[in-house]
Amino acid sequence: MTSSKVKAPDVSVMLADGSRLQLSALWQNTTLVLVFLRHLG
Amino acid sequence: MRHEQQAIENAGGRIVLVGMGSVDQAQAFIQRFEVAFPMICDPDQHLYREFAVERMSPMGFLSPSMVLRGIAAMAQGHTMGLPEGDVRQLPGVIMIDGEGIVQYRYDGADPADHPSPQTLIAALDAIRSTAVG
Repeated sequence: MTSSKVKAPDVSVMLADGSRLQLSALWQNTTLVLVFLRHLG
Repeated sequence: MRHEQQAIENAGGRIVLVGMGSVDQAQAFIQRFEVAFPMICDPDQHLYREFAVERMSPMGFLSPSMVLRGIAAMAQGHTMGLPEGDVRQLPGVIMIDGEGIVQYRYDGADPADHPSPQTLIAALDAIRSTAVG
């Protein structure tokens, strides 16, 4: 496992339904697994 | 895939995809592949840069491993479509715990390099055991 142990940036992101939220809203009470794709989707 | 999603969720993970397309492109992708995960639209690749997700070198397409993977894909019947978006962008996975700390990252060595579900579940188990301990 590669571990960074740095604070994640809490940036504003846009979801596929067009709504916006802070990234931190996605890691509340869970471990967020961000999967960065090579696709446009 | 549903079984793997459930296993990852059971291990304490919440999967969110990040794509380089617009809202319309993301919705088309979700419908075409019946994607069951939330998806972030990042057409400017702002989030990719924030997390320093790597891009392939200009010569990367000519590396022996890439050429072999291309031949193997064509042998399986896949064809090459027109390139769209940032063709040099590599995939990656980043795990952020409930405190907002990056606990794990996997940087794809080439466009087809992804961690297995088992690798992700092991990483989540390690994160959870660290949090408990």
